[in-house]
Amino acid sequence: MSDITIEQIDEFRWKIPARGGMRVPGLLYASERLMRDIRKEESPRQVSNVAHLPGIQGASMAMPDMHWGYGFPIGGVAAFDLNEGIVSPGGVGYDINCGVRLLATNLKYEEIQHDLKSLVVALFNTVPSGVGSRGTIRLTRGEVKKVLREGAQWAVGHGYGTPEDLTATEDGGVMEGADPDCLSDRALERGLDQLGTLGSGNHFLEIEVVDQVYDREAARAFGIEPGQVVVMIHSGSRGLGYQICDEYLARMVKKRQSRDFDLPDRQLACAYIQSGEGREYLAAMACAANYAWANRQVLMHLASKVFQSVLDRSPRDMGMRLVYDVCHNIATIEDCLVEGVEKRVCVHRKGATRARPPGHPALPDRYRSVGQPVLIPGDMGSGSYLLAGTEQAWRETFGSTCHGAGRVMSRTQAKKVSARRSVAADLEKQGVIVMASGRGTLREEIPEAYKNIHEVINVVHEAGLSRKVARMKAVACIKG
Amino acid sequence: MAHPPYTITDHTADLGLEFYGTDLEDLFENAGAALTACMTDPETLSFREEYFFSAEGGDREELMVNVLRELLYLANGRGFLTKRVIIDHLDEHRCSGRVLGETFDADRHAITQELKAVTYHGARVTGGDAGGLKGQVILDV
Repeated sequence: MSDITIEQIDEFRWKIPARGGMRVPGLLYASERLMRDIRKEESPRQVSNVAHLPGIQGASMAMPDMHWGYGFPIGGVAAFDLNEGIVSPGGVGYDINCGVRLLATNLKYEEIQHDLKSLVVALFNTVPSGVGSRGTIRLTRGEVKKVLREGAQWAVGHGYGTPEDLTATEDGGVMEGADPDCLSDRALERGLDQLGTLGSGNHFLEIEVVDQVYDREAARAFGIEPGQVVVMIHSGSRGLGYQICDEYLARMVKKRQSRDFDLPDRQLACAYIQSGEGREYLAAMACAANYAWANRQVLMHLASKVFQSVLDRSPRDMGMRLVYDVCHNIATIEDCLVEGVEKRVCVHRKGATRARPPGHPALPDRYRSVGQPVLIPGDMGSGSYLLAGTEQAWRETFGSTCHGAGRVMSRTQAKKVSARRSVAADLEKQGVIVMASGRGTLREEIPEAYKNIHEVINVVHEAGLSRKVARMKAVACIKG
Repeated sequence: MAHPPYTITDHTADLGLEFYGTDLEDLFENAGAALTACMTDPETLSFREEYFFSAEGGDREELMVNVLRELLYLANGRGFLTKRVIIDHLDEHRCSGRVLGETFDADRHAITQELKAVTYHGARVTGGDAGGLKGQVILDV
């Protein structure tokens, strides 16, 4: 890391001056303590690499949960001019529209405490999880194309949820411009049987209890209060999304020599937004984004059904309601402030979350006065956060904030340090019941493998990129 | 002492994989075996089925990644687990061959790790310490 110059701007902002082929500076959000780990790894270099890409606006940024990715850093945010800029499949990631949704209930912890184990077992048996898991929904090729065009609307139209859910989903749960003809047969095939499946790795479905409220006005607008039971779901576009990213990346790597610019890392392969390839990638990416929204909509429906059957109460009686759904691996064409001027750009958020400010016209009426709900999952032991978007983020980061805790420990290292203990038993002592399909998943996902989520949240809160609204503590978790 | 056939290296969010070969053909064959070893125990696999594959690439790193991408697609898209790779043709820009192995069977096989993708980030082919070649890729998990 020695050849990357990092200058401290203030307590939470660090600048990488534009040098060599960098078209803009790099801007890192972190505390001194987080910087100690960040300096040791490759993410600052990756921030600098992204700054080389044509048409980049303002700065190449990274949120405090940043860590070494491939090409773009995880936690990276970069916006590109629509005429001169590029779109990069690696800047979105393999799991296109990986994201989080939060389902609120009016249940108190005491009301589910005695049924918690039954709930976890029933969720584990009902929600397909694990490597290559297949769903109960089998789609024909024609039907999967409808999912790809209609996103969460398809799911609601088929009885998985209600129209109100769509108003609580980013972009109404459907990204415009999706064209299934831009997908290969391989990608389409992988979408036939994975709708309504959680997947593996860090994806999860968690029952959480609100343990602290920081901003009462925003919490009220979001319908959140202390002691309340909520459900958080983290999943994405499954094999279909991986296949799309993989194939478009390969196409763009192949054509790299015909570009008029050099790439510091092959994984940054990209195409001009206005080129045929660029447009086709965006149309294919939109398909995966829609598949992911439909997926999380179906997953939420499955969770809601489990609550109904185990607790023997109706969804209305339990006050079940989607608070919000955000994606954190995506490129979107949106109007943002670029150095003080509103401009339509292509924002890449790779492990970063959109966070729109109070008053933004795209927010549902009930949230407009307080800003967009932002959902930040933590590790299994530390809990998760509900934040709200701010004016500051709108001015500074194209309306973006962090997406999670961010790893500090590799998966192999995590397995090694947890080799002699029972992760499930340790978590149970902390009051979290966990069930996982994969043998190694719990070991890889031990709380110590992640940065301190409270520290990450503190940085975005203090830097003004989003406002703390509430904290949720997990009481049960199912993982792939 | 001979090199171990592969090593898993640390990468914060993902998985680094190193493998070795006496020449490029041997390297690619070992790369395929190493990829399988990241996903499942190769000892549980038998030679029941055969698939053909082919890949192209502008240089040997791109070609290596593209061969592994094909094998990973067979695993993730078709459920086919490769026990052994046999290269039939290899030149500067093209590689084709066969993979022997079998279709995933939940009763006999366990997937220990889901691999999402083989990335181009940090993909390298270099001379190995004791002669021969060393290949490196980072896998998205």
